[in-house]
Amino acid sequence: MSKKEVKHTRSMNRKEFIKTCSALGIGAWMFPSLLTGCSSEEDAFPEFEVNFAGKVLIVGAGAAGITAGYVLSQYGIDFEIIEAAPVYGGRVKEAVNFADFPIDLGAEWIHTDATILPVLINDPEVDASIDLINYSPESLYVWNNNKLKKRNFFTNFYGELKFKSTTWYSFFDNYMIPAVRNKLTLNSPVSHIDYSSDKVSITNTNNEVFEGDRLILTVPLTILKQNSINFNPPLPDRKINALNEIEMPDGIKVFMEFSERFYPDLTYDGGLSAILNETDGEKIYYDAAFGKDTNKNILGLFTVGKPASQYTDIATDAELIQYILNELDQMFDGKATPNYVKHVTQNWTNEPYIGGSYTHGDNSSASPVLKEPIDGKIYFAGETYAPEDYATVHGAAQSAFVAVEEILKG
Amino acid sequence: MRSLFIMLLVLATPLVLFSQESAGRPPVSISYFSNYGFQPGIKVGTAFSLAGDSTRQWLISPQLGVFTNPSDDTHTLLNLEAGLKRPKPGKNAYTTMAIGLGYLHQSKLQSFSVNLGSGQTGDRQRVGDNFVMPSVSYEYGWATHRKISWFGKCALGTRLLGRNEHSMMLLLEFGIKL
Repeated sequence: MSKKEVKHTRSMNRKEFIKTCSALGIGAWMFPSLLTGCSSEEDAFPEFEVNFAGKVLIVGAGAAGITAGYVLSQYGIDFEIIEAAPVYGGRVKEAVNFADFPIDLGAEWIHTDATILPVLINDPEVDASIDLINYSPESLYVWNNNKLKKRNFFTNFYGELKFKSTTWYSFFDNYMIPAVRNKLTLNSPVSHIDYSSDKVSITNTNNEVFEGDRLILTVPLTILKQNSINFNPPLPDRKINALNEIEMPDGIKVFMEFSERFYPDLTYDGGLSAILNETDGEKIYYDAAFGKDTNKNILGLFTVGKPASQYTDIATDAELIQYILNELDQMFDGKATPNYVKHVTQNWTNEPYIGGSYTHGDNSSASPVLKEPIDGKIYFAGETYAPEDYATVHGAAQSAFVAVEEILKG
Repeated sequence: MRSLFIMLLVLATPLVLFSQESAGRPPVSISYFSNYGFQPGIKVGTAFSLAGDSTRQWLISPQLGVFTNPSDDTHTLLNLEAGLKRPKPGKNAYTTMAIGLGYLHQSKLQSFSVNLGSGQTGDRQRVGDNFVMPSVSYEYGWATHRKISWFGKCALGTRLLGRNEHSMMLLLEFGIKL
């Protein structure tokens, strides 16, 4: 495998934007390019030292689990992926029939350089391209104290990327799943992990047993926090304490089609303070058709954390959409309900085997402990364990690279 | 983008030489030009005295500038300002307050492709938008030589009448007048 270096310059994304402003105050807004606009060089297509020849079990077929299997396949290492749900993807999920373009029901934005995609594919021989949208809104409003205010100048400080006619799901589905499909077992919720001997043995709720030499555990944080999996021996106390320090709060996405467009590119709930301080979570209404080849008017609601709970707690889908339409009618002078066509909801809090959005808040103290392997047999991967950008798809996938590298090192 | 910069530099050079060699000719300015300080660019301009005396001078100033956010958009501004220049007595300095009206063109990167093997990006699709931009500005300058002065300038404008919504712009300049 050859090595290449990839250069790219990028804009500040929403997460960096919030982090930077929080850390440095408003002065940073004047010079964001000095902080994040510099060129970065990544050593793509790593070559791992291989001193391992056993079998690797991977629990979870989300971004991290799929990537772990994919990378192991590139090194010819035996592996097996065990997924609890009837589908793979985890929090990477798409709706293909709602609009005339596929919609990301889960992870949607690319929170880093475009070159992360070839880095994850990790194969310079691949001859395919993906179209990306320069997601740089032109109109940005804030909804604060029951007033809608234009804050378009904020768009000068914000930009990231999205897939144009594809999704995060199809990225994994097209380029990684073919390499792991035959090693993937669905509908197999893991209930027990035994690592007391040289081997790692896992048992699912159907009492089927899988055995391997190493385990990469990629289940969402909530699954570990809820003790849904029984470990033998039990997880170390420091690991349990670290788990208790980190939250994976509520999360929901709702996409609505309207016959007319009455909304800006982006509407932040809670005023400028909500943009600068995401401690309690985040809530935006956004033009989900931004940059897409479509004439459809698709508005997305994306919310995580405390603001999300008011939606995730609503009992029925009919009540939920009525609640949202009422809110939009308040914001946009009653234009939502008359123009409403249809909607699709993805409640991640209620999603089986997920149970929330993503790792939230400062996890600087707990994160190093969570990333530690256990007894050289159990390794962790997923957005929680990302080497840099936690709470992102690429961070989850990169954590899989880290876990695989450590296992192969032997 | 690169060609725009080169064009402005080429445009500025003979104007600067012409200005240096011609006493009483209008000054030529060339400056670092930026939106909010981080979208870098370049601007050239000149100014014509309309009326006034040693304490105040009415000016009219045509300018051409460009600034860019490399991975996002490029703006080209054709601007005309009318202002009042006030030399500071006893100092080689002056201030100018002006109002301007400009034509602003935005060329924005809409989409592009990335090759999954090589990481090369290409097939850049851009979309243009045109705005009218009224502005107010404040300039402070000081002379270091009979024919050379340095200046800093801050202009607050609003882009209007484009396909995209209006938006406030804070245009900062630092440059030299010859």
